[in-house]
Amino acid sequence: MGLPGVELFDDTDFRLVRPVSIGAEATIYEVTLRGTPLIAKVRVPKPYRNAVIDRDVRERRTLNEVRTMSKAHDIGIVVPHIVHVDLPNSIIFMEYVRGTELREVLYKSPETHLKFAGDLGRYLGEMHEHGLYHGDPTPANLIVRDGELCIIDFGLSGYSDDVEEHAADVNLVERSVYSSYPVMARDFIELFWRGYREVRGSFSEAEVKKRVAEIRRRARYVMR
Amino acid sequence: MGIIIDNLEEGFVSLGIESTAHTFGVGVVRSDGKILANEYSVYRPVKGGIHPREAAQHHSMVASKVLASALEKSSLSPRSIDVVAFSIGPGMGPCLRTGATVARALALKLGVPLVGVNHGVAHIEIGKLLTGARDPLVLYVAGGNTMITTYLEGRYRILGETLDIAAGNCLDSFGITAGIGPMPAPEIHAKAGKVIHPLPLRVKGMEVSFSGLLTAAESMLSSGVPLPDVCLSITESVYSMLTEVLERALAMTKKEEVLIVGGLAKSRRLREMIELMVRPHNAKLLEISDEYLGDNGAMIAWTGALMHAHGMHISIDESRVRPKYRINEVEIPWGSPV
Ligand SMILES: Nc1ncnc2c1ncn2[C@@H]1O[C@H](COP(=O)(O)OP(=O)(O)O)[C@@H](O)[C@H]1O
Ligand SMILES: [Mg+2]
Repeated sequence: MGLPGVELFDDTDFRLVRPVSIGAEATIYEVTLRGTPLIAKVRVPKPYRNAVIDRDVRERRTLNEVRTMSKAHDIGIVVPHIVHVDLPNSIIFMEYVRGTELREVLYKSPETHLKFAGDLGRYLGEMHEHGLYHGDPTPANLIVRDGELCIIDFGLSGYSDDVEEHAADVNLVERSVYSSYPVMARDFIELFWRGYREVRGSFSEAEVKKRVAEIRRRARYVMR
Repeated sequence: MGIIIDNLEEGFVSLGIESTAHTFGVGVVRSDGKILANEYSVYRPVKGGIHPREAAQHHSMVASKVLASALEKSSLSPRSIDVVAFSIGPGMGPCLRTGATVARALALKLGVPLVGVNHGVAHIEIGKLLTGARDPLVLYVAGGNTMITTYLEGRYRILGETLDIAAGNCLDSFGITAGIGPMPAPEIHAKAGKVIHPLPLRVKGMEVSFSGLLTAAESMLSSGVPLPDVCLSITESVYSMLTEVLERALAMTKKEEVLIVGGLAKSRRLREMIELMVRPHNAKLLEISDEYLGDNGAMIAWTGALMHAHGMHISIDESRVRPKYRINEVEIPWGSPV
């Protein structure tokens, strides 16, 4: 079936249905495990990268992803359930979230979906409040299913109470929204902060906001 | 080449002055895109990094010589210059002011309009001119800048950039601490490296961060790891990060052309990695010769020509330098891909 080294199960347990997405870092397949549809996220080796770095990066990201996803689930955030992890081959088997990427939803019906900005603000607020950061919270990593937001792609996530990591998350939200949807961006970001504030309060909101602004202004030069 | 402005009935000549950091350059470019001259002088500190004031001093010392030799190369008299452009930012204040002063004086003396060019935009525009690229995804990597950008609706939008220091600054600083000097020294020493030690790669979506990596590499060195191995580890790590975020941007934007511009784009190893990365995306990495990758006057002259054609002049009052001028603040009326 083309997924190497899956040892817990033997090859006949899985069936490859189709590739869902060939992304920069991973290839996403729809598979079935004894008839149940699942997503297999395979972090493929990158030929451009030195082999030592490549192995290190793929292993670390796979571990990060499953760890933070479970933690996020524990604090009430909607994420796909994890079914199985094949660390040596950097494969995660997880629930297939049947919905539409927020990226597409925003393109198709920009105004009606500004509500997701607030949901995203609340989600990131919860994560940060619990010492987690996502690392890539862009509209391509959010799936809308039955009007509810589900977060995926936790490879760049981690544990931290450092405002720098939290601000880096928000910086990414702002950046991705401003570069892809310039027209609605202002409204989106305002609603995002409203949701964030609901969870974390205005003190944390102000602290993170300040750091985001600082990141933007930062001199990109050190002296040696 | 010169797609937009060769529609103008009469051609014109633009002179551009670059002085954002270590290079003082003067370029002369015709409105059809023909580069008539590209002269420069580079300030090389005896020890350590660039000191803005010393660099500025160097620039004011060489200014008239570089200007004269650019005019000589172009075989034009000063009277044939129709517009004077200068890099107004971003960059080091004292260096920028030196270039601005020369530009103001020259524009006044010749009685021609003045144009203030964004340095980052100029890197991209000269790359587009030389490669014929129409709608590229751009990685701009240099000593003071690291960003991924592409044109969308009237501006270059920043898709990702460094959260702290620039990639070039990271490698330069490491080389200086290690006593071998700035780039390309670390890359040269890396060739003798045998063992790669993984360093923390701090990537956030399409953003990167190098200050933690720099500190980790410096402490690796002081813990006794051989210099070539540390050089190999840090260069491979920095290039892997840049290639990774560029791949993410490429997958997202599905562009067919990739340009790498800025001083660090001269790195053979970085180009090789990006070349390998773009292949499965059916995209092409376009080649620009080294002369136009680093800071140069021709890129300022060419961008100045584009701006002149669109009436984007400034008065002397408006010509104050902008050390933190961001690429996405500039309106790009000529940017729309055909
Ligand atoms: N569990 C899932 N359920 C449904 N679709 C998914 C799931 N995981 C990933 N996808 C789809 O695949 C795309 C890429 O997955 P992602 O985990 O973001 O990897 P990457 O962005 O690194 O390629 C997502 O944007 C989404 O459309
Ligand atoms: Mg993703």
